Amino acid sequence: MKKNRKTFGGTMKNILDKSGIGLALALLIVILTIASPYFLTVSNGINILMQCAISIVVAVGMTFVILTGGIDLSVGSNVALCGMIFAMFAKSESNIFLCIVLTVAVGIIIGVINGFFVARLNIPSFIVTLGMMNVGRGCTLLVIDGQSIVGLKELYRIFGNMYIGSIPVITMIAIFMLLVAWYVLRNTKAGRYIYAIGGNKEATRLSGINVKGYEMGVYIISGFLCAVASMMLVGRLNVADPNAGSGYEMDAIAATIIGGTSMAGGRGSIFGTLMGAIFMVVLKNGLNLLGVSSYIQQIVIGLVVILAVYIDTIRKKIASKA
Amino acid sequence: MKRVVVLVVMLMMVFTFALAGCAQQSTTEPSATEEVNDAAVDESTSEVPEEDTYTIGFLVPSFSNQGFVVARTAAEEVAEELGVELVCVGAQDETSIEEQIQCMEDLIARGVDAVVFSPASSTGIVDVLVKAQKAGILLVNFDSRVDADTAEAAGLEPIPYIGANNEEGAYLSAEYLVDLIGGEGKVCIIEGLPGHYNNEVRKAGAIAAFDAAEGIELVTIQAANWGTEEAMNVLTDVLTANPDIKGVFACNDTMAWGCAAAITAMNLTGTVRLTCFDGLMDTLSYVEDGTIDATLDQRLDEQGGIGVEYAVKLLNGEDVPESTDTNVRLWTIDSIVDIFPNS
Repeated sequence: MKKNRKTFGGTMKNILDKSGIGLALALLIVILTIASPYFLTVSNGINILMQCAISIVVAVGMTFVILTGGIDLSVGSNVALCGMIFAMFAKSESNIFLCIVLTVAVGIIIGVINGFFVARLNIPSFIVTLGMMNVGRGCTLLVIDGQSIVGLKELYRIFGNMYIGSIPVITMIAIFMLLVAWYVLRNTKAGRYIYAIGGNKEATRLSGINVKGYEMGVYIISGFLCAVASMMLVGRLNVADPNAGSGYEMDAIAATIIGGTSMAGGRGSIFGTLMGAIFMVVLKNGLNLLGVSSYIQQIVIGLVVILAVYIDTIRKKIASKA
Repeated sequence: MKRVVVLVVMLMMVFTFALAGCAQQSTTEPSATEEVNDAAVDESTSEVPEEDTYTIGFLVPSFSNQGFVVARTAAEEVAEELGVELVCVGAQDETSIEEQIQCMEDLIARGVDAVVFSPASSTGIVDVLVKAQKAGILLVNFDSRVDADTAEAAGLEPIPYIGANNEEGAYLSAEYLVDLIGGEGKVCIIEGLPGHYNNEVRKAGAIAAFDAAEGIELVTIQAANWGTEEAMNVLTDVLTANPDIKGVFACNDTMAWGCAAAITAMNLTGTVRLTCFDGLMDTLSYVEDGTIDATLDQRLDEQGGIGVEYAVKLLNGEDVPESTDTNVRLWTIDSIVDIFPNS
C-alpha cells in the first residue's frame, strides 16, 4: 500500500519546504529593505497587499489543478473573458449581484469545458488548457470587437478602493478563498482524494474513488477563482482590457511551484502557494521600486521560476530516495 | 470512437488557433482584378469589374486599440464616398509585428490594389512592404512612420505618409502638464513599447518640454508596453519610490487609464497631474472628471480618411504629398467644451 503522504515524515518535509520558501521570502524582504527606503513603508505594504490579492486567488486555483497532476494554462484568458463579461453587464445592468452571478457562471463554464476534456476524454491538460487559452482570448476579443470597456465607477469603489481598516477588501476576499481552500485540502475527504489522484491516479481509481469527478472539480474551482480574480482586476483598474491577464498562468504556476507543490502532483500546500504568491509579488514590487527595467524583470522572474522547478526536481529525487 | 473524438477536438483547436491569430473584418466582398494565388476562385462568370472598383486594404497593429477603430470608421466613410472596397485587417496583439506581417501577406495574396497601413514595428514591416510593392500594390503609411534607414537599405520605394507630428503633440501635452504643476517639481514618463517609432518620438517631445522648463526635474522613465494594467502597477511602484512626483506623462491613452487608476487608488488625484497622448473617445470621461488632465488628439480620423483618399489618388495616377501633418489639438477640461459641444 502506497505510503500516505500525511505521515509525520511527510508533514516534516512539508514544513521544511514551507520554511524553505519562508526563509527565501524573509531574505528577499531584508535585501529589499536595505536596497530601497520605500520598501518597508505602510503605503508600499498596502500596495503589496492589493497586488497580492489577484495573484493569490489565481494561484490557489492553479494549486488545486497541479495537485492532481494537471495544469491550467487558460487562467489568464479566463480572467480577461470574465472581466469583459463583468464590465459589459455592469454598464447596462444595475443589479450588481446579477453581474457577479453571470461572471462566476462564465468562469465555471470554462472550468467545466477544461474538466470535461481532461477528465472525461483524457486529453492531456497541457493541450486542453492551451487550446482553451486561445479560445478564451478569441472570445474576449469577439465580445465587443476587441475594445476596452472604460468607466465603471460604482464597481470600482466597491472592489478596487474599499478598505476595512487599512486592509483592502480584495485582499480579505483573497484570504477568505485561501482559508476555504486550505480547509478543504487539509480536512475534507475531497482534499485527500485530490492529493491521492495526483500521487497515483490509477491506484486511486481502483480504490473506487470517482477520479473523473474530482478531476473535473479542480478545473471548475480554477475557473471559478479566475472569475473572482477578474472582478477584482476590473474593480481595481476601472477598465476591462481585452488583453488583460497575460502572463497570469506563468505567475500562478511559479507561485504554486515555489510554494512547494510538485508539478507531478500529489504533494504541496495552500500555505506554500500563499508564500509563493507573496514572494512573486514582492519580487516584482522590489524590482519596480529599484527602477529595474521591465525587460530585466522578465528575465529575473523567468530565472526564478526555472530555479524553483529545478529545486522541486531535486526535492523529488531526495524524497524518492528516502 | 474516442480517437476520432480526440482527433476532431485537436483539429478544432488548431483551427481556432489559426483564426485567433489574425482577426479580419471585411466591409464587403473584394472583387479584385488581380488574383495572385487564388486559383480556386473563378470570377469570369460574374460581371466584369468596373475600372473604379479598387480594393484597398486597411492594415493596423490591432483594432483592440480604440484609436485604430476611429481611423477605420473615417476610412470606411471615405471609401464609401469614393466608391472603393475597403478590407480592414488587424492582428490581435498590437505589439506583434509577426502577426501583422502575416496579415499583410494575406492582403497580398488577396490581390488588393493598395494598402493603407500603420506598422506595429517601424523596422520590422519593411520586408513585407517590399514584397507588396513587387506585387504591384501601392502603399500609404499613416500614424507611425516606417523607419527611413531600413527602408532605404531594403530598396523600398518612397511611401507617402500622413500622421500627427507625434513629437510636437507630445511636447504640447507635456508642456500643459508643466503649466498645471506651476512650472516646478518632479515628473516622470510612462512610456509604451521601447523602440517603437511613435513611442520614441513622443518620449523625445515630452523630454524636450521638461527640459525647457527650468524648475522641472524628470525623475524616471518606466515602460508599460501600452498596457493598462501594467501601467497601473508600474506607476503605483514609481509613486511609492518617488512620493514627491507631481506630474506624470503617459505616452498613450490606454496606459493613462491605468495611471489614473493608480493615482486614484493612492488618493492622489489633483495632487499628481496626468497628461497623455492619443485622444481616444473613452478618455473624454476621464478629462471631464479630472482624473486625466489632458490628452493630445492626434486626429486618427483624419489620418484614416486621408489615407484612403491618397490611396485612390495614387491608383488614379495622381501625385500626393510625401508627408502630411494632421491638425492635432489638446483636449483639456476647458477645450472639450468647444470640441464636443453636445456632451
